[in-house]
Formats: sequence, structure tokens, C-alpha cells
Amino acid sequence: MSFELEVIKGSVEMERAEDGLGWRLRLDDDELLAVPDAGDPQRFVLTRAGQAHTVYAVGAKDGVWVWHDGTARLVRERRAGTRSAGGESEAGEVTPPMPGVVVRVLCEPGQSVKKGQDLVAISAMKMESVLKAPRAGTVAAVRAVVGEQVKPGDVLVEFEPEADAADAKGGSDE
Amino acid sequence: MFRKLLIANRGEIAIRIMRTAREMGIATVAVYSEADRRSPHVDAADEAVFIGASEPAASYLNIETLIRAAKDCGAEAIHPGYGFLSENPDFAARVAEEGLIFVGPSSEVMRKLGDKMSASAIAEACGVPTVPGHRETGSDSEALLKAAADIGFPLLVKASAGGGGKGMRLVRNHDELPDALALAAGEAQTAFGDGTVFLERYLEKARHVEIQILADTHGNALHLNERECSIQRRHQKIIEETPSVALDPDLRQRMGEAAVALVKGSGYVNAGTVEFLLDESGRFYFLEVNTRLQVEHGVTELVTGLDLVRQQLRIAAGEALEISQADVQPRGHALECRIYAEDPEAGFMPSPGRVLYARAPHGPGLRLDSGIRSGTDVSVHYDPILAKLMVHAENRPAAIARMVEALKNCVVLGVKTPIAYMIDVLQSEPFRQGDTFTRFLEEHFAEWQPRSGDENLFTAAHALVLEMGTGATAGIGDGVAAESGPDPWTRIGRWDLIS
Repeated sequence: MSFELEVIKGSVEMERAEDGLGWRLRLDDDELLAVPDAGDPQRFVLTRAGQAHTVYAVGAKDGVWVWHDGTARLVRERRAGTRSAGGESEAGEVTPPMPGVVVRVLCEPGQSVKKGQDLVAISAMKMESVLKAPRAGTVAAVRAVVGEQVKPGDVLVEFEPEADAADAKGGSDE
Repeated sequence: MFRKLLIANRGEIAIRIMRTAREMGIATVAVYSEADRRSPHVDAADEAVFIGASEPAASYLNIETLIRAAKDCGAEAIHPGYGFLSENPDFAARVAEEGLIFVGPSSEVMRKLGDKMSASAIAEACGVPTVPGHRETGSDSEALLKAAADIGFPLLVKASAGGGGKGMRLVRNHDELPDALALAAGEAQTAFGDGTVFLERYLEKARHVEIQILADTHGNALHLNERECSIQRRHQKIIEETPSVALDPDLRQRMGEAAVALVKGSGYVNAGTVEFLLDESGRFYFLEVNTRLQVEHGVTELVTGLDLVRQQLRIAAGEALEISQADVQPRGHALECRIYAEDPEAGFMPSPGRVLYARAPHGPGLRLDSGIRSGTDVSVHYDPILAKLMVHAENRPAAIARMVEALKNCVVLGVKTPIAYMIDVLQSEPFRQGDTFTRFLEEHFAEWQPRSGDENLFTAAHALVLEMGTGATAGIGDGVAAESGPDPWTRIGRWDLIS
């Protein structure tokens, strides 16, 4: 385990709990009920299958610091494949930001692609979105199959970023 | 008793001293540097005096500035805390010269005991065993090389003025010695302005066991039993406990009596600590005297029920000890974990920055001496200690379990801390067995990595913070507050989160 934890944008589905006092969260097949502490905005009680876990979280410039059970981690968003990818992603994998169905595959193995080039189109919540190359590189493998259900974390396209696009793992703090 | 006390220190120890002073009806004066304008210790005092730039030499180590601050505000006494000028005999002398009370021993005694070679000589004169070695002033390297053969290898080259591992070298055989002598002397000359070195036998597997003592100006001296501080990284303690599993009543009595003999023999007055190494056969050897309040004094307070700062202030005011050796009846077991801003995955490098959120654990038998709150900036200029978490329970296993739970709920976000590391140390089999020695962490935890946690909880917390907006955290999380002046949301409502 490393201090930094990268999560994929949109990998958590959230909705208001029925009583309005908390949130229901879904991560893959994991379901959590989150109740914020009205007296401490950094404290949340997350309940899974009747078991409560207290976490503390605070936003920072470079991510969200989260505490659970004596362990602190800096959680950051990974923006691979999203349309608004600001170009800072170092990922060699493209994964959907939300669950959906693959509707088109727009690249093939061995193809060299420019940054921002369309790779895979998926349909989710009746909206089509196109996953783009986060940076210039070569497509190493295409895992997406038209018609298949996909979710965040599923690797749809693997590609090798161009040289010197090395992992620029930043310091966790100044 | 004096009426006003200046605390020539900062952080958790300044706050801890102020607490007792207030209980005793003594007014408190904090001092603060540029970097500490917003630090909690400033607010904890009745008044505060600005003493200069952030570099310690310009403020917390500036003897004349501190004395002027005390005179200007009418303080009658100065408590030096630990670190900074606490063991500087020139400071103690200047304080006395100005007609102020220094809360600690006299400068003469401090000078004698501060030098490791003369301290060992005093110990020997008092019948206290020292580590076999060669401690003659004016020894040239030829004499040292010859002495080394008598002591035997492995041995340690140590700086007479040394501390914190500086000017210290472990030498495994004769061939390594000349280089080690030159390196240690050079390092000591640079660090302490004194390149004098001596030789000592190296004890392969030893515990660090120290005896807390109290001595008044009326000739009374007693000891408050031991603390074991074997869990060290970079020769610096990180977990301490009392009692030590290695001491039986007989050994405890002999070590206590040795410490008291040294105190009486050297004319020591006030609270102090006599440090020993204890080898596997139960033999103990004098190491050094810390002529001040120790960082880890709190565990002794928990088991004895005594307030050591109260004892220090009473002794400094010339009062006689109200307790005798027979009154010292410790109960239960106490542990301390030091919470530093440092990274256990990167050789315990300091991790300065802003504490974005801090929250104290609660429950029976817990004590947190803290110098931070949410929003505190941990400066690069000072020792990165944030807080000390202490627990007290009826026995050692219960104290360990209590500490593990307390650490899990001792929330510090924004800077790295060794909390997860210390949880693993406490839960390890050798620690539970009490098989502790000064190289414990190097031997068992050199390759430490955090355990993998429940990742979905971290991911969910991240999503919640993003969804619920940064409003709740903007004041301290975006790093703007310190530059743009007070933000009401960082000042109000966060004050009591940790302390």
C-alpha cells in the first residue's frame, strides 16, 4: 500500500439517503451509508452491512487527506480517459469514468495516437461520451468490446505514453 | 512561591508547563518567534512576548533576548522546558546573575554533568557503574588506539560534548578505528565546537532505562522509578514506558539508589533523569544525566500521581519536598507515543506543512499533550514534535491495547506522522513480549510498509468531500488563511479540537 491512493473520477455513485440525513454510496458492488457529523464537517460515519467505520477527511490543494483506523492517505483523482482530461494524467490505461456500455471502438493495437484523440465511445445514462487519449502514445491493447457493460476501473485501452511521459509522482507535501 | 513565570520554549512542552503554573496561581508568559505568531502555546499563556526571527539562534536560543523579555514583563522565574537552552549552563548562569530563578539545577552542576567525560568521572566517584571505556582528557590518537585494544571490539567512539548520535561511531575492529576517530572528532568539532572524543565498549543488546529523580535545596533527594525508552529511531526515543519489564524490585532499588547517589554526590537540585544502559545479564551502566524535564516525564506522572512540573516549581522556589521515598508507590503501567511530523516510509524525514485537521482521542486513561490544532503550520525551523499521546492502564497488555485504540483515533491530517507505524510496533510479538532493546526498530522494522487498508472507505471519503464542497475546509485546506490574515472559520470552532 502506498501513501497516495488514486481513484477514478466518477467511480463512486452517490445519492441522498431516504431520510435525508446521509448519502448512499456505491463502489462496484460495495454499498455504504455515509452520515456526516453535523458538529464536525471532517468526520463521517460509513456503515457497511451494519458495521460502522469512522473516517475523517479534509480537502487540500493536492487531493483529499483521509484518515481511517490510524492510517492517513492522500486520495487523488485520476482523470484517465475523461473528455476534460487536462493532460496531466500519466496513466497508461483508459477506463470509463462511470458505468456504461461500449458503443464504438475507435482505435486498434499498434496505432499511434495524438493527445485527445478519440479511443472508445461508451453510453451511460442515455448519454454517449468518448474516452480520449490522455496524452500522445501508442495503443498497446484494446480490451473494449462493443455491447459490453463496463465500469470504472475496467481497462478499455492500454497504451504506452511517449517517452519522457514518465510517472511524475509528486511529493505528498511541500 | 514566585508569581510570574516565563517559559523559554514553544509547542507542547510550553503548554504543558503553563497548565500546571496556572493551577498553582502563577501567571505565565510565552515567548514566540516569527514562525510561531499563531502557535497554540502563545494563546495558552497569560501574556506573550515576541522574541525575534524564526531561526532558533535569533529567538529561542538567544539568551539576552529571553532575559530581557523576562525582565520587561516582570517574570521572576524562567522554565526552559526541554531542548533549546534547557541544558545550557551559560543560560542558567545569566538567569541567576539577573536575580531571576532558573527552574533547573545550578549552572555549575549542569556544566559538570553536561560533559560526558566529566559526568562519567562523577558517576564513578559516586560508585555508579559506567560502561568500560577510556575517558581521559588530552588523549592523542595513539593513546586511544592503545586503549582500544584493552576495551575490546566492537566499541563506540563518542563525542564528549555529544548528543543525539552526533559524533558517534560504531567500530567493529582495529582497522576501522583511525578513520572513525577522525570522523567522529570532525563531526563533534562542527556540531559542538569541541572535538574531544572517548571510547566505550559497545553493548550489543541493551535496553535504555532511565531513573527520574527529584532533589530539593534542603538536601532531600528521591527517585520516581524507571522509564524504559529502548524504542528509538535515529538514536531518538519514540515509544517510552514505565515500569520496564526488565526490572525486578531488587534491580529497581539498586538502580534507583545509584541515581540518588549520583544526585547527592554532584549537588544536583530540581528534577532530573539519570540514564543507564541495561545489558542482558541485568548489569547496568551509567550513560548520562539529563539536567531538565524529559520529553517522556508524563508516563512517570501517570503511574506516580505526581505532577513533575509542580515539583520543579516548588523546588525552584526553595520549598522542601513533601514526599519521601516510601511515598512513591507507582500503580499500573503507562506508555507514551511521540507524534512527530515525519515520514516513517522515508527514514523518518521531517514532514513539515500545515496540519489541516487534528482531533484528540478520548476515553479512560488517556492523556494528550499537544502543541498543535487544526490549521497549525509545522515549521521547518524546529523539532517536528506535534504531540505526545500517553495511556495508563492496570498492566502492560492493557496499556498496549489502550494505546493502539487511542492511536487509531488520534487524527492528524495534512502532515505525515508515524502513527500507523507505531500501531504496528505495539502490536508486534517482540514488543508484546517485552523483548525491547535500543536496536529494536532497526532489527524488526527497517523494512516497514503500511498495511493495506479498506480502500473503499478512503475512496468514499474522497467522494464525500468533493460532493459536499470544499466550503467546510476551504479556510485551512487551501493554504490561503495564513497569508491573508485571520479567517474567522479557522479561528472559531477549531480551538478545542486537539489539546
